Amino acid sequence: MFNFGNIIAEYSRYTGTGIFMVLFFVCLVVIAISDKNYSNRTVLLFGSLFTLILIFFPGMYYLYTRFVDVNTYWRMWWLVPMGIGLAYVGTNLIKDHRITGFLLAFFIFILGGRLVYTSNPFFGKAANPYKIDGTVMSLCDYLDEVEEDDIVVAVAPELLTIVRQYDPYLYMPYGREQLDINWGNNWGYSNKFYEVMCDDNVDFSKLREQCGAFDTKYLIINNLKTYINSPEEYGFKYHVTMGNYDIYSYEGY
Amino acid sequence: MNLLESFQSIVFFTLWLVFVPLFSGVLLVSVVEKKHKRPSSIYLAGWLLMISVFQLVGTFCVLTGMTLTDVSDYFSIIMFCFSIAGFLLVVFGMVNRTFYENYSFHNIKNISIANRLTWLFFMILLGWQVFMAYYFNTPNGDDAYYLSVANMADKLDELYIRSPYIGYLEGLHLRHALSQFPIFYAFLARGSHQHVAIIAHSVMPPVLVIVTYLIYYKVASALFDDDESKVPIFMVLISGVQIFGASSEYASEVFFLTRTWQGKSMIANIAIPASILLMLRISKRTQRSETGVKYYDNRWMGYCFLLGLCNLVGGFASSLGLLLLAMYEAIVILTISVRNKRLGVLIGGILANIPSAVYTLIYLFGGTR
Repeated sequence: MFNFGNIIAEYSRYTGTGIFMVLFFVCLVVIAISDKNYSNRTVLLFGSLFTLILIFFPGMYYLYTRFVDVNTYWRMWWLVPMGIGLAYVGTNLIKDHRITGFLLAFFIFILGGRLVYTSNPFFGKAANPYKIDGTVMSLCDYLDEVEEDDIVVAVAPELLTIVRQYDPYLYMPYGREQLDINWGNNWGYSNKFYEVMCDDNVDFSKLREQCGAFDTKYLIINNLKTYINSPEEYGFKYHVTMGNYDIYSYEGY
Repeated sequence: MNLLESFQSIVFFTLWLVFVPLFSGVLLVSVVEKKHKRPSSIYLAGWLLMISVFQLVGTFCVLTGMTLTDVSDYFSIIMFCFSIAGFLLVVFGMVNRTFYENYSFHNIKNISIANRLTWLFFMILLGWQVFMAYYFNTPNGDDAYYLSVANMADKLDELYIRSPYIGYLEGLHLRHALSQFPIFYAFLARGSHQHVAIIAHSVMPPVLVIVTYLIYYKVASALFDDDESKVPIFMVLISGVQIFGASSEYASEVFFLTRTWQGKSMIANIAIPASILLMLRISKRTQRSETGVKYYDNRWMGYCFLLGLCNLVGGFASSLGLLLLAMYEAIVILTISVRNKRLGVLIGGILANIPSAVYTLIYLFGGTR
């Protein structure tokens, strides 16, 4: 319950490799020593100090992880006005020497910080205003055109987070919660159909079994995988290839 | 999409993202300021009001099993009433020739060369961030939940009754169903005839970046109320912190510029800074001089009301937002109350968190329905 090490671990997790939080603590000292503005001290200095005490208080950690969420205590650090504190003290320090001050700040940002856009490994130019893979959109549009009834489709694992962002009319036998299981979060069950779809070898005999179990008609399969048997032999009909994905429908019902 | 539909979309966005907040904000700001109201304050207050109203209307409709059509109808009627009232107030001011007494506009002629250049530097940084928010893609798996919910609300007219991951009917999960920002995206999508993904990924990020920096501008104005020339310096520095603040994937700065459209980012970069702004104003309005005489009048209570709206904005973003804001405000409001020797501030802070308390009770006792 009073494992202070976990709180330090959360602090390290949040602050990562940057020095901004350390600079913020320095800013608090600067405000304490030299800032005369009463209300600014009240909110920035005393407010931040008491917030930090709360965040590092083991009882708070226990209550949060027990009743709110065991994995998100790092969000408490959002309550610390780091950016405002840094900018406030920085402004007071450089107000009479702007050019030098901005240059110094720039070097601190470059050396002590990290460009936010590099934090996302999938950062790139948007292909369209939807910012959704065009191939996925085409796959969904195709299914909407060929099928009038409710569409149940099992998709390749890498498409799980994308398909229903674009098309709410597609039902799926498994969803993104399967990825969470693989990340270590226990949502209660692991879906057999998902496990079969994750296999690098595409086995249509197993897929036939899962389609029947989950009442699924369509499959979107990554065609870079190895097909170890013929889809037609097991009652699947080929529809179309878009990008690296093939669409099949199970006709054996 | 043809030219007429594009024009309709632009008109819709201009109406709901510019004029409705602007005119509805006129009413709200009159709660705290009778004279010299700044357009920036009015616009921000209007956003607080608009989001708060949507949160309340949306929550009511979700809990009573209504549809997005109902949400849109009630919300539109309420906001149009506020906006028309605000518009009439402005017109009344013009007719009575009290317009320039009631509203204050920045006099850019009196700004020094150094400040103009610093403002220009900030505008370049802001413009770059807005461009990046629109032109580049920073995908995130959490959209599988939020955008799916928004999509179902728009296309199926259903509010939180289906699993966003697989589409089948399920019970109402109050942890997520009490926050209405996906439904707000669905409202914008339906009205503008755009897909929710376009709203979330291309329309809202630039808008939210601008709104966030507007909040920081007001924070700077509050912090440096004795010297306005420091404000542009603050804006440049905070831009730098936001752009280079990716010390870890959990930093609020990362959420601000790469997950702008998500509720978690709204908590960290809109609701919490807005709360800081309002508490700064409360502190300054209740501060006592060395002789014990209070500086200002009782309009600080209006800021407490705005703080209550800010808490609703936190709830709009995420149910966790209510908890985080309540904890933070408890600390800071108590500090202000003690240092300024004003018990009323503490009472005002408690009243401002009544919405948070109500939502918490709904969450705790509502269960899965």
